Amino acid sequence: MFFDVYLPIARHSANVILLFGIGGFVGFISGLFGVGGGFLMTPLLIMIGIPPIVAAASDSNQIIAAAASGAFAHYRMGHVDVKMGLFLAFGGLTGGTLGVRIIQWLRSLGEASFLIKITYVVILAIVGTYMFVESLQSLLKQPAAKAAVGAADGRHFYKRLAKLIPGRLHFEKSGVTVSPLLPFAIGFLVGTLAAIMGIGGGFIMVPLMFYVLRIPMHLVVGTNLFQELILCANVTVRQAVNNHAVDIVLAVLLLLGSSIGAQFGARVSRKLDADQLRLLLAAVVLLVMVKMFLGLILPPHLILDMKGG
Amino acid sequence: MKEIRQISLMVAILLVVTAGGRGPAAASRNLTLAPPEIDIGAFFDGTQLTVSGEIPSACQAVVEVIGERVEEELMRKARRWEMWVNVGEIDIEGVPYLYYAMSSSPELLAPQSSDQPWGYPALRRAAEFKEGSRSVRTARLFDEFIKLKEDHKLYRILPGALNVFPGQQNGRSRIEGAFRFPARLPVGTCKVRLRAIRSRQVVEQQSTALQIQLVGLPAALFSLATDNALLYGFIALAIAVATGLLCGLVFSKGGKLPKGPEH
Repeated sequence: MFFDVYLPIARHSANVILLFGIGGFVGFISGLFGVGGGFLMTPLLIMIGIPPIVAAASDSNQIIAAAASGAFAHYRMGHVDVKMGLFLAFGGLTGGTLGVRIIQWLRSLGEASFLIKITYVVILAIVGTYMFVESLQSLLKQPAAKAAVGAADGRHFYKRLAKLIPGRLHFEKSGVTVSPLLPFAIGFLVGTLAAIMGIGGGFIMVPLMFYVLRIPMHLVVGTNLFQELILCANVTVRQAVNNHAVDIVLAVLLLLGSSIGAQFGARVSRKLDADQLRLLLAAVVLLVMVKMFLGLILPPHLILDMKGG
Repeated sequence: MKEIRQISLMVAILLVVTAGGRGPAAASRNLTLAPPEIDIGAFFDGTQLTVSGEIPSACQAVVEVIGERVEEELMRKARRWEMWVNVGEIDIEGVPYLYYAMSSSPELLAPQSSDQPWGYPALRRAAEFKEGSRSVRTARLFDEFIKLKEDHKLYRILPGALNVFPGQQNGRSRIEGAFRFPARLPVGTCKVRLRAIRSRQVVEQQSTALQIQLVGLPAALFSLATDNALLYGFIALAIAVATGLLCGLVFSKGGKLPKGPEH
């Protein structure tokens, strides 16, 4: 059929419109929340028959386009802190390298798969629940009460924690003064987890940037996209060289959809309150967590699977 | 003159006998494939392969398409702490990556035909499973392997789907069958084998090769990805960044953009 295209690295054919639609949907989520969307895209691609390792590698490739498109849109709105993003990305690159070593050690113990999946479910549950509860509480407060709370919100605890770390650097765009070690450490932690879980880490990075670094929400979105752009560029080239797993045809079709979707997502994000954004993201994260958990406890369709699945 | 005619007649008879006569197991080379080879291009979505040939009369037939035998690495799931996770790696040898079989009579590909040299029972006898350096052999493991392969549409048996047309002019029967292959075909050479069977014995066997290859854009991209991986990676990166920025430019308005809400 004309609308089916052959993916030479995935060794599979897929419908062009379907791929474009998947890319558009995930791109919209990406522009809306400032996350890469890998935790949505990879499972969707596996569902349509793409081998998991090709899905993950090509997903990183298409994230670049959505991240570049979304970061550019947010940059033009004045919503990207480049300085902060570079510190986060540097930490992420370093953490990613460590994460790969940890995976190799876990595999030698024979417990990699179980621990990775449990880590995924636990992290998703913690992040999703915390964000959901906190943003719901914030939404339900009266505006006057919100103003009165002011600095005494949930981030006050993290503000005191951040003061314990030595060194001070002012990030003009975000309007925060913190130790440069803090964004590096956050990037390092997320990079390590992302390498272990095989994702971009946006859904962990976004709450950490908001709660710990105290960056305003609309700067969080654009800045996260900027640092994800750097990290995914690294992952794409490494996957292409080490695993020959990047399918350009698949990535191009996805990124055409996601680039356009990210633009619409960025525009919609301007119309939503920060609390609403966090609540929506928390709901998405929790849904993915439930799906993963069910995948762990329900009997699988097949006891055997191709390696790399 | 009479002797010359007799000698000529004997030579003619000898020529006819040697030209037309063949041993009972010798193949008549009339096994044909349509298409003769499979080209995987940019819009490949699987293909139909029609196999036709001739067998001796009053015979049943089995046609197999057998891919190359490769060692495959599989992950095995088991229940641990009430959760289903990958618990180990299983290697399997001795079986083809692709296997399709079709028979004229359903009984020929029945699971109970365990002693026949075709079908899943033959693959079961040839399969070797290893966990590390230890050989493992369980019936359930092979059944799960078949389920996995069928789920990926790499294995399929079609009992009774092969058509036999008896009463050809040369006294033989014509067979014809069609396989529908998925897009996920292995590149390489497959063997297509036709067996004529009478009273559960193979009376004739023919085989031919089926070439499966990448052509056009898929071939060029695959070659670039494997032979120049670093360049391929940077091309993928450049395309993604350029597309993202281009979309950003296309969607951006001229002049100052409105600021977002303050937080």
